[in-house]
Amino acid sequence: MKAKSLLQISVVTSLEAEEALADLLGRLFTRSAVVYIDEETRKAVASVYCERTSEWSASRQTALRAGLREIRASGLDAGPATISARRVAREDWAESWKRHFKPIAIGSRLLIKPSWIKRRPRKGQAVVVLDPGLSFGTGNHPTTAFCLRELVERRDPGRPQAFWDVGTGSGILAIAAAKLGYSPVNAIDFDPEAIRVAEVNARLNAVSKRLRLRRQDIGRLPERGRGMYHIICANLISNLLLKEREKLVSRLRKDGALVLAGILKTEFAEVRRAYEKRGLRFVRSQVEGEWESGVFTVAGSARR
Amino acid sequence: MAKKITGSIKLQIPAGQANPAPPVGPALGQHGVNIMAFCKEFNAATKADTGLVIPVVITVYQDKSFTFITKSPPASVLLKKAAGITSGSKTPNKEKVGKVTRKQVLDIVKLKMKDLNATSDEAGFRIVAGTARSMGIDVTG
Repeated sequence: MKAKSLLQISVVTSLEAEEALADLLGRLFTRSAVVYIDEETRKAVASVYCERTSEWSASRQTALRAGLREIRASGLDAGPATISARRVAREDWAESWKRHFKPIAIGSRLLIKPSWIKRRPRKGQAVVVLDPGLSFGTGNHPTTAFCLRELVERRDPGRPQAFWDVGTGSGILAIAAAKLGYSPVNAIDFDPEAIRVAEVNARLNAVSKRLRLRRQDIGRLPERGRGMYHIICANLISNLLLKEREKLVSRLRKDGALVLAGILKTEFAEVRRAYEKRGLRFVRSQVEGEWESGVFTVAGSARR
Repeated sequence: MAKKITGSIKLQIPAGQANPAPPVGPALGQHGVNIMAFCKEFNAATKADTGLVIPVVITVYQDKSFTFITKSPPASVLLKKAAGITSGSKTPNKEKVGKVTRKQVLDIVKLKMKDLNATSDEAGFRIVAGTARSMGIDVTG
């Protein structure tokens, strides 16, 4: 019978020695080691998972320490080389990762939820079903959440409103816009994988016929467009927002709003200046973590 | 959108055989990665390499989404192949189990350069030669 928990044997090491250490653990425990590299600290942790605590024997502990000395002696910086052993509950790992995801309510009118959560929407609340996966987010990112809030707040059910999603990724904004009643809804992304995923998500949400997804590099669009969109969301990166501002602004209606996201807060002032110089009026911005997102309208329009 | 990376997970999985059992399950699960999506994508991407163990690096973003790339074989595997041995030494400072030439190490560095934590051939050589010595393989010539 399998034990209720696994034993995770870990060694904190340097980036230089992580491969040698993973190999050492692999040899000692005759199984593949895992290395986790923390992006912020740049520390590497090499681990193996043991089925039985008896595998962490005195002889293996001695061999591991000797192996660390060998790594140092061979000229590699082994870093702190802190050894630890901790119990990890044995779970149904195919399912347990899901606990990291919760439904996200955007005001009272929109609910974003993974497919496995059965929560019912409130009356009048549109539901977007989106499962986390490869490459593209699900509304947890602050920049996406800001765009979703603007979509909800700016929807006027009394009139048709056209929406353009630039850099659609999973399609979350375009799908939410279609569910909220925006029409027409157009979305582009330069990445064919993004368009493939967005199409799957649109089908999952039964809105395929209410939005148009297109593989398109914004850099290849004509410089000037017909101002037709009531709302444009461009959740990109600062450089692209600066470079392509004419394309975004010229496609915005005189009574429209441009939502810019994906901007580091240290870069927001430069983006704001560039769009104000192009004739837009800054309405508001929000800082969350290291990101700052903002809303702009056409200068002289009454809309906020 | 520029997404923030929280970390990366490096492991070795037989081609086409990723599944939620250890080490994949606990290694990915604690970082909130969709394990079944990863297994499906990895198995599809490596189905042509059946029989090989494929190193993979999974990049995990702040919003728990992920990307992954498959890599060249580990230095230890290439060193064992170059030295003509099947396993490294258990006591590498006492028992030497094989030798490789500088040229063979440089060939490995060339093959693995894009995957090493090194900015120059010299730094790459240091890492691979260090890995060789830690396995009981002498670097000669």
